[in-house]
Amino acid sequence: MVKRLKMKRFIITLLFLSAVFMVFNTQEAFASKFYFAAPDEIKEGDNFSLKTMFSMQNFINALEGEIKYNANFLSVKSISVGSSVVPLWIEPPQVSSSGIIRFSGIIPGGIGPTISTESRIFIINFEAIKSGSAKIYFSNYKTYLHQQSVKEEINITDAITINILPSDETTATGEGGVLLLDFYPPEPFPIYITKDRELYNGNYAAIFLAQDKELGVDHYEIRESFLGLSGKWERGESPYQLLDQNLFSIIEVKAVDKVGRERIEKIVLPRVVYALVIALVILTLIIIGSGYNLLVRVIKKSKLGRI
Amino acid sequence: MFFYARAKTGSGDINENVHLEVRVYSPTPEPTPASTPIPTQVPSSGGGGGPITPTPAAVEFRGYAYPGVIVNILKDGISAGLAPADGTGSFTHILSGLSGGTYNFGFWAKDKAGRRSITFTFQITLSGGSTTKVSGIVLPPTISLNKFSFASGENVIISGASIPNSQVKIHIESTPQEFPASVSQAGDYSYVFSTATLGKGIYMVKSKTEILNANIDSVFSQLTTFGVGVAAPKKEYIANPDINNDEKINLVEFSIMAYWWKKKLPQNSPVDLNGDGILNLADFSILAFNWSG
Repeated sequence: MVKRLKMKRFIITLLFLSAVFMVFNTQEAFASKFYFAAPDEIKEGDNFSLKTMFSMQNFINALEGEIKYNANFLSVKSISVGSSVVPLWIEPPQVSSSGIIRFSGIIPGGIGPTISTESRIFIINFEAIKSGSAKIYFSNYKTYLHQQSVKEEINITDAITINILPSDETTATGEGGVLLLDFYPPEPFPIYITKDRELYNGNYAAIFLAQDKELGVDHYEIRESFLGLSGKWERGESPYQLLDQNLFSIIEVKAVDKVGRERIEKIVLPRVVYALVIALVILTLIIIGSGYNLLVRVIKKSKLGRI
Repeated sequence: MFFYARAKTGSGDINENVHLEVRVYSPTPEPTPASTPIPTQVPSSGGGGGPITPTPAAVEFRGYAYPGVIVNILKDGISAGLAPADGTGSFTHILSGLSGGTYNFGFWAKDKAGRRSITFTFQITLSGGSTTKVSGIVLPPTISLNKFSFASGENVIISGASIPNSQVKIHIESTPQEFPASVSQAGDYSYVFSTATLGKGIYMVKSKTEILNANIDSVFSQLTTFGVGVAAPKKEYIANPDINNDEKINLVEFSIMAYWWKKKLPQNSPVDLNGDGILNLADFSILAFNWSG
């Protein structure tokens, strides 16, 4: 009797554990995954690129997270977002504090495993500053499914350990410089002028976003030229509160990529056109008026001369 | 290159026959991609080396939508063009002057009843100096119900728009069957489903299109919910994502929301799309779902 009870309990426990195992394995089979692609082994002083990747199993439209690395062994030289699966960054990936890179972004319209399941999020260019084992892993990560009701997706992640070997001779590449390849300037982009009470207390602002398919956009500069006559380039970000709230300026935005290639876009607002047309008309009338007065004087003088 | 892909939704459904055909053509007679230019180092400190004149890339899209509608095309979330669909639902569009690199392209349309499709998106890498042709794009159907609460045994009328002369497969979650509905020449479909086989509860319904001759399926439409023997499901609170009321949901809304990121929101802030009092990734997910470009 006791043996039977023990057997029964054993079978129930086994079935329960099997169910739990199957649930977690099933979830893992359907979960999207954050992972890295990097060399396993490098030498102290070397620079290397680490790709942060995302393997999609479902349609998603938002993701965020942190990448943690040992800052005693690794130093971030640059981060490239060109050709990322994420076209709109809420927080572009950057070192938020020592050993932590934070990122947050959305994919308008969502993206899923339609053509490929593997997508790149961004590339981190590291320098190995000390020999040893450096672990790099994801933390505080989250993705949202692309569906009407907001729902987080369950994700799994991979960590990576980079073995940094001692250098037997000087191996630094160009004083720790990073090789950057970029063939194209940033893509053409639109500029929107908006006035909304949720933005800068209802003042006019310029909104813009350029894509650079290789290393990403480094910064923007904006120039407001009053009636197109003069103006100075100023560094700024979108949304950018316009200095000329009367909108009589031609607004230019320059997107500069990480190797200095530029794309300049311009918007000429209707007020500028009207102002220029009015100015031209007034100038024309002045010229005609002056010309008429001069003609009248010349005619009078010539008549007096004859008398 | 021919790609065959299966797309899995958040609820675990698999679309077996989502096909996209991708071919890459260079300007030379041979239909192979143009050779990659030998990379020249562009030092980060600037200067040195001669500039490489980049050769632009182009992409041609061919697909199917509802007849007579305008297909909106997004490139990395930004509106990149409009393509009219003809009487058979076919549309084509070319984007040129692009850089080589990886792009997210999206396609959506409104049917003649004003119902909007979900955005069909994919990511593709273009090569400079090449034209990439992508065909087999199929817009998912639109879907709507005659009402949202039903007594047991009452009929649910499921309708929407899709590609003319195709077949729509309707899925009601918690039932194992697919219910087929033919799409008319005008691009409309309708199906009457009896709730007699359903118990009391809340159910979700969606549909997808199958183009019969080509054996191509679309991805699934939006999920729509109805109740049987219970009150209509409570609609999740979502503020109007069109924050500036310009009938578009695009970079302007994104920028307004990004402006408030990590700032304390005033009460009833319109950027708090899910009404939980804070601005976080969930609000941006709602924006991304409703994006129009």
